[in-house]
Amino acid sequence: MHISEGILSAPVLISGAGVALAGTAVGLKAVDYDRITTVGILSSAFFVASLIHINIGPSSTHLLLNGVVGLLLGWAAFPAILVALILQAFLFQYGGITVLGVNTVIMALPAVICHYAFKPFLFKSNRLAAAGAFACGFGCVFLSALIMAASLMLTEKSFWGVSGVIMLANLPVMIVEGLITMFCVAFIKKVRPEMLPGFPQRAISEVEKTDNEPQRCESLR
Amino acid sequence: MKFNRMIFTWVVVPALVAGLLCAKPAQAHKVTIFAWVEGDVVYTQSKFMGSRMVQNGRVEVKNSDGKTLLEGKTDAEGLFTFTAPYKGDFDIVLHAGPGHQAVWHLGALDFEDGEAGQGPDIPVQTPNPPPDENTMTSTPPREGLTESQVTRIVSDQLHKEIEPLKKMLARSMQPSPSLQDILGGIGYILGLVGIAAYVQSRRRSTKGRDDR
Repeated sequence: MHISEGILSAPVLISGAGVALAGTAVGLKAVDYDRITTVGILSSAFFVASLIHINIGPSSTHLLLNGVVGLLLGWAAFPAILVALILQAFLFQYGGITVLGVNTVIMALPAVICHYAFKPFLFKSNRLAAAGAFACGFGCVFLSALIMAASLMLTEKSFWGVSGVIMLANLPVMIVEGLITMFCVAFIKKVRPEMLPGFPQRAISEVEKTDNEPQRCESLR
Repeated sequence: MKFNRMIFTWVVVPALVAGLLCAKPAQAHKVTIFAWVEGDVVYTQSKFMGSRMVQNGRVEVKNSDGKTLLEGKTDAEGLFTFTAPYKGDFDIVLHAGPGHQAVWHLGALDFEDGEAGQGPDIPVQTPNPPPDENTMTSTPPREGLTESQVTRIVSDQLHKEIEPLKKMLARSMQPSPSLQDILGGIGYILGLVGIAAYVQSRRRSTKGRDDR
C-alpha cells in the first residue's frame, strides 16, 4: 500500500503532507502518556507488518495492521504510523520521503475513522465485538485502498482502471486483516480489556486494584 | 486470569515475534530496475525487493526531455532489452502495478566506445589457426589479425563473461530487509517511547513540586 517516490504530482504530495501534519498534531495531544508503551508496541507491530506478505495468485501484497492500531489508539495512530513509516522509508526504502505525508494519510486516516466507527461495538457483547473488530480491520484496508486509488487518480487522471485494480488486489488483504483484528480484539478483551477503547470507566480503578488477583469484576461478565 | 496473562506474555508474544522474524519478507512495494549496456543493446532487469523478478512489467524508455521513445514488457525473467537509438542519456522507467515505479538513469558514459551497430556476434571471418611462423599454408599469406578484429573478438568474449556477472549484480542489489534493519527500527521506536515517558515523568514531578 506504500506509494513509491516520483509517482504523485506536487499538489497531491503537498496536501497529503498537510493533512498528515494536522493529524499528527492532534494525535500527539491525544496520546495517553500512561499507556505510551502500548503506542510504541503497536507502532513496532505496524513497522514489521509490511514484511509479512500475502501471495494471492500473480500479485503479492503485505499486511497493514492499521485496523488494530487504529482501534486501540484512536488519534494517536497518526504519530505511531508516521514514525513507523519514517523508519520503513529509511531502513527498508519502502515508500519515500516526499511521499511520506500521503502514505501516512493513506494508513492513519482510515485507522482513526474506523476507531470512532467501531468503538461502540466493543463492549456490547462478545459477538458484536468480534463483528465490529472484523469490520474495523476490513474497513481500514478498504478505506486505505480508496485513498490510495484517489491519490493516484488525482495524479494520473485515469479513473476506473486504476481504482478497480487496487480495490480488487487488496480484497484478500481486507479479509485477512479483518480476521487478524477480530482475533486480536477477542484475546485482548479476555486478557487486558482495559486496553480497548470505550472500556467502562467506572471499572478501571477496580481493575487496577485487582490486577494481580484472579478475580474479575462482575460488571464485565 | 493470571495464567492467561502469563501465556500472553511468555508464549504468544515470543511466538509472534519468532514467526515474524522467520516469515519470508514481502517482495512487494519496492521495485528496482537495473540496466547495463553491451555494444548498443541495453539490457534491463526488473525485480521486487528480495529476489522475485517482475514479470510483464511495463518498461518505458524516455529521453532527457521526458518524451517516451519506446515501451515494452519484461519477460518471465524480468528482462527487457532494446537497441539504443542513440548513445546518450536515457531514463528507463519501470511500472510494476499501481503505485510502484522505479527509474534507472543511463548516461552517455555507460555506452562503450565500440563501433555503432555491432552486436555481440563473432565477425564474419573464419577463425584463424594460431599464427605460426614456421608453417606455410596453402591459403594466401595472412598478415595476422588487424587491431580492430582483435578488439572485436576480445570484447565479444568479455561480454560473454561479464553478462552473467552483471545479472548477478542486479540480483544482489536491494536485498530484502535484514534482521539488523528490523531490530534497528524497533529499537528506535522503543527509544522514542522511553524519551517520551521520561519527559512526561519530569513534567509530572515538576508539576507536583510547584503545586505544593
